[in-house]
Amino acid sequence: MGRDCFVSGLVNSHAGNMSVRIGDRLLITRRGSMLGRLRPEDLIETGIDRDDSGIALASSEIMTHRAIYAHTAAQAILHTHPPHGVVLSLAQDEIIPIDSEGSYLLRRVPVVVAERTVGSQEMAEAITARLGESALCMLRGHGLFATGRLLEEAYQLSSVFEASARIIYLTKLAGITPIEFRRDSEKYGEW
Amino acid sequence: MTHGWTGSSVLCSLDDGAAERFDRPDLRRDFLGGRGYGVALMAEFGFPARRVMEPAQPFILSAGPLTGTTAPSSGRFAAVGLSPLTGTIFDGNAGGRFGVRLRQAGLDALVLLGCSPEWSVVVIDGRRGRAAPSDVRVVPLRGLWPEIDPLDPGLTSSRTVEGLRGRLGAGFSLVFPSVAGRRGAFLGSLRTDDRRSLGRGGLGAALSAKRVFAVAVAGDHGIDQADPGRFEFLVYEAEKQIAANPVTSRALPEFGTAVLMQIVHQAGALPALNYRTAAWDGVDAICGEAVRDQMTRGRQGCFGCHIRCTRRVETGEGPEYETLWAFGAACGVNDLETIQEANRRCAEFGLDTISLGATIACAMELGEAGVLGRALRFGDGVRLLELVLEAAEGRGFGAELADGPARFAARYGHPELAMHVKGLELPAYDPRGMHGQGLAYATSNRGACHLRGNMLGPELLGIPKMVDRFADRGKSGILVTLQHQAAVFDSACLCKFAGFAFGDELLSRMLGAATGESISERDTQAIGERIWNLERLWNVAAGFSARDDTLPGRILDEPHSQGPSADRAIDLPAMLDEYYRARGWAADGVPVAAKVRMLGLEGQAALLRSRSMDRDVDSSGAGQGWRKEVAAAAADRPAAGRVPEGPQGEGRHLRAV
Repeated sequence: MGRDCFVSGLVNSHAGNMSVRIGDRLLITRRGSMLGRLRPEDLIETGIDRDDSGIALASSEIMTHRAIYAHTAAQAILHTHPPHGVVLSLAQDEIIPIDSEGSYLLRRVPVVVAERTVGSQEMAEAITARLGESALCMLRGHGLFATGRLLEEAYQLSSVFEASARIIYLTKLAGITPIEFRRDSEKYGEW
Repeated sequence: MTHGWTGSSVLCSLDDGAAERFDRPDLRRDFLGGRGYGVALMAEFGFPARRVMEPAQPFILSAGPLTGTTAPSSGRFAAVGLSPLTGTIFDGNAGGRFGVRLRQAGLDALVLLGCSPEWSVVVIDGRRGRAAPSDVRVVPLRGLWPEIDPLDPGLTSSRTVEGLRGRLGAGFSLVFPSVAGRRGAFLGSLRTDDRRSLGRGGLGAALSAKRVFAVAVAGDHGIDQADPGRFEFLVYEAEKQIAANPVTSRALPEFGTAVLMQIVHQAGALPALNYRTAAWDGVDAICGEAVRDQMTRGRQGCFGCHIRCTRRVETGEGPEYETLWAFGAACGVNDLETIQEANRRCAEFGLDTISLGATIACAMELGEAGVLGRALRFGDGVRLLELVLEAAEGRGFGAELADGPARFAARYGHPELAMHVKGLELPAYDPRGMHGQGLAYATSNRGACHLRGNMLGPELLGIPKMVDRFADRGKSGILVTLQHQAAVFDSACLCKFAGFAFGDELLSRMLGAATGESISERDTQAIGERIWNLERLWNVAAGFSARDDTLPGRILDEPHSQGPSADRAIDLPAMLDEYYRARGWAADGVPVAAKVRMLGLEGQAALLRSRSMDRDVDSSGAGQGWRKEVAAAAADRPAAGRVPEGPQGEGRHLRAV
């Protein structure tokens, strides 16, 4: 899955991270690991809410992962840097897909803001505050946090999100005014 | 103003017929409705360490915030009580109109306490213009229907409905113990007037112990939502999800649940011949395609259901997947007509098809081993039908089967051949081919059950995503999530099949629009977790412990020798260790104080702890009924082969369980 994230352009060489919850432990990718070339030693096990020596090797975003597990029903988290999603997050407070698949699966993705966008408490709080209303949350100018019951579910949602963001981006670039095909689509803003 | 709930429930004393109205908004908020509200009320009124059939034990019928709304597959209600089969806290739920009527009568729940001096019908007339706001009466059966004997085996489900409808008049919906339940069979189900069964756990026997012949309810009040416009939008979105999912839009409508037969078999997870093998060659004759092509005349659904998975066949409702398995693969019978006739008899007499099929399969294995002293072999469909009838009517050798395989196999000195967890028979998914399902069976609060948190989705159907079905690690998280989701669906009163198309996220939004409360996905998971933990606390107070979280020795020690699941042993101890940690429980499987506090269950935990001191005279804990009988049978081998002496007929269900 890490390789898929890299190949599909969701992350660059050493960006992004992922974790799964296993009981009161979590498995998270190693700080500085390459998602496209993950090896067994790149998976670090540590406490879901308590440090042990594994913390020295864990991803720099572990604080956000822990906060998400503490405040949501997530069993897996994937953090990526989807380019079109990042572009839209610079100009919008929410991203509402206009395509069919995105509408079915996402409906609306909130965008949050943090001054310190890597490994900060501020960022963790901003993201967890909005993940109650969506399985995904976009951090402005940084990237996407996606949750799921399984890691593959989080990956699917991330992939759909970037495809939807790209469609919005291309539609704007082409100057197209979309003809609405969805009933009650205006209500996705209140989702 | 209360939305989503009526804000009114009734506590009815069957001893004297007194009825009192009450409301517990705190429990509605924390436990939602249906199963959850019922479990919370059980903890308020029940006694975990006393006999399950004691009059003091409550029996609860409850609806949920979505019952009777336009939400897909939402016309459901729950029955919550204690199971004579397992000794655990137990609930069942069904579709049909009863739950809708209960809400239309202005009630969220009915709590029955005590025991009626004679067989009676609890009549709730909540129609406008009647005694306001809802008239609850305990009506003696002899006044209502004097010419019948409630224990007459001929008083089948359809005769019961016909008779009561004629005497109560139009507009009433019914829940009633089946005749097998009235006669005290631990496999005796509850039935509704629209042919739904609350099959498992012997809830029919539990309600019969209160001498309740039926509960009848009529009502015509509206069922409102706090935000009707948003609710309808969300229902529309839910319908889109159901239409877009081939399981809910194609497979279940076209084949019914029988669509699973080939899928499960091809994975090497269809247990056959009392779980001896997963390589049985009769599948093609009883699979979904066979049911569709040879039997199905049409399909039907419960009230408000868009999926409509029930098969209509010439003799009534067709067999579901579990029934096809129980009387088919489990017993080695590959004849659809025989299976359907067994199914029809179970519906009319009110016996749980999974439990009875599993018990007959156990008997067939014992018969082939020469233990029974009588001829009984796998594949003998003629004898199978005779046994179903004997079990239903409580006569002959079949009468020994009506209390499930745990007691039956123990009587014959082979408890290891009973495929059960906590006294409840394993259903139609072999854990050796679906390791996560094994963990689900082992940890289920009501015994081996696929409806408490079904790993069928992630292990075979790819819902939400496919996982390695043989993996022993990393499944506790998804299982816990699914157990909570099942508890919430049972409490909102939504059919779990809708859960194949959408999950907690959409459900929480519908609940919010219906009730006007702010309910997030996290909140629904917390409600599910609260329900699960309270059920667990009840069972602990009743004497259950981590040693009951296990699987039959055959599953753990006898891997299949052939087929897709060959040589795949389950590491259950490792799975349980991870599971307990995922739940925040101690290593002995008991919720720790911090977890109890986090879920706001301190009051219930203290009450259950104090009541666990309130024991029966034999002081060994009510929750251990089946284990006590199994131990007694093992210690008393000369008695093997005989039905235990005891009161027959009406008093039979007052045995020490």
